[in-house]
Amino acid sequence: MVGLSLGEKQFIQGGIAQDIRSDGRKRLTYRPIYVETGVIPQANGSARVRMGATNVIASVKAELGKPSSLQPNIGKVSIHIDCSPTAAPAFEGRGGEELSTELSNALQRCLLGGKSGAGAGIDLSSLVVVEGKICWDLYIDGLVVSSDGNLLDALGASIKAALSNTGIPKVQVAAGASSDEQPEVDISDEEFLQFDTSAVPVIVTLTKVGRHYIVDATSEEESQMSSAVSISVNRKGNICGITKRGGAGLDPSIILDMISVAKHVSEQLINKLDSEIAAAEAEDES
Amino acid sequence: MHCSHAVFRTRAVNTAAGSAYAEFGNTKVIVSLFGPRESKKAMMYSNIGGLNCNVSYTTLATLSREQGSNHQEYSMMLYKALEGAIILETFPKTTVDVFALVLESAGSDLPVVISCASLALADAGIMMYDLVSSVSMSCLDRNLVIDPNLEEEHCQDGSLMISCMPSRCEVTQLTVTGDWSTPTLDEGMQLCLDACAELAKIMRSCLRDAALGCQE
Repeated sequence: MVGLSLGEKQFIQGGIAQDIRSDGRKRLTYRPIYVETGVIPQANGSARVRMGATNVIASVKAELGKPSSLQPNIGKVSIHIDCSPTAAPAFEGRGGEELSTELSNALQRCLLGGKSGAGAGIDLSSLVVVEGKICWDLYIDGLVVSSDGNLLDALGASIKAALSNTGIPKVQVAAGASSDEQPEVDISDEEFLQFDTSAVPVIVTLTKVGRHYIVDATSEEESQMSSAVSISVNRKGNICGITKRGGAGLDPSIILDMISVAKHVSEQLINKLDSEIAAAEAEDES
Repeated sequence: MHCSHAVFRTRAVNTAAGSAYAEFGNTKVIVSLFGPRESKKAMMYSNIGGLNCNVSYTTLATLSREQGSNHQEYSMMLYKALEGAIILETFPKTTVDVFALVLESAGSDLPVVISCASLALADAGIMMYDLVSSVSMSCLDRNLVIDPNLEEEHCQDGSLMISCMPSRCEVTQLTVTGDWSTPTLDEGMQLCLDACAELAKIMRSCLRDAALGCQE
């Protein structure tokens, strides 16, 4: 990103203070969101989300595996994000690794819930095939193709869309297997189970610039931020995860205020996303 | 209240510029700090100092002799918790290296690492806006438990970790996982902030004792 001059920085800060941002949006308005599903045919589910110039792709692959011995009745999900060098030359090789790890951890925190499995966006017990022996391992991979700020929200939205596009093949377990051996399974090529994504939360990132918060910051606005809080809210209005980024300290009352703003914004975002995903799926089928 | 069995010692490592040892229940952490010194990584000129954090677990730290996978994440989280508190302008062009070693992990590891690291920074004389104290809390079936141990962490429904600078009343880092309703979150945050303030008092008295001990 090209450096900003002092005048440009003041323009961004002043605009935000007056509720008119550089592209004409208000502080709490998102950029237009476009969702396409089924972009990667080899994956079990995939989606591509565009928010302005930010472009991310998420794909879900399911493979049969063994559940962990500590929790034998739930499947496993692993989320991994990759920042591709097409987004910025700095991401080549190890450069994007720090950002990728940060994004992966934040998404795992928001989508996978507490250790007991409560609050998870994905119902892990539906991934079990044979308890203790065979379960589905979901590998969710996100790819940042082009970055213009607000990567976390875009990735969260694309994972939600990819999960709603995901079809897990139906599995027939061979009857009569003894409890010691590995049962034989027959993976069906035709029948699929769709995921229920109504509990998957969306992530709203509130970026604090000066004394005001904005939603969906572009990378110019992000360069002026003092701190950012990403809040994951589900349809019921419960908070599923919070991550604070940025160096400056925040007063706790500001954080509580941000949480209530995020809840308010998330209602519109969830509705918008759901309608976009439904439209994308309809188009995919036709 | 958990703070009663918190143990802090500074000057744990003689050869380091600053160091501290902390024990919370069974979780034992030692942090040593080198710097400000020239950094091999940062070649570019920078008019503020750099901070490099590294958190590692000894192989005997956990119950089973396996390496957990959250080391890299902890290093980054330690960096984020501390960067808001250190006055980086006081050591331009140089870097402070913070190395944290978890000797025994019994729940609530990262908050202990953060508190211990800020004590080590104070021991080394690095200028800071305030001490950073950190507390984590688990939500088990609507009961809020401060400073969970390993079993409580395993079956928690949600966790909340706050690092804050108590005198400035500023939160430097906040992470929440799991399902929280807003009133529970409010209550949890308030409890954690109070616990952080208490913890900071204990940390300060440890530093005071160490300083008085040195003068004698």
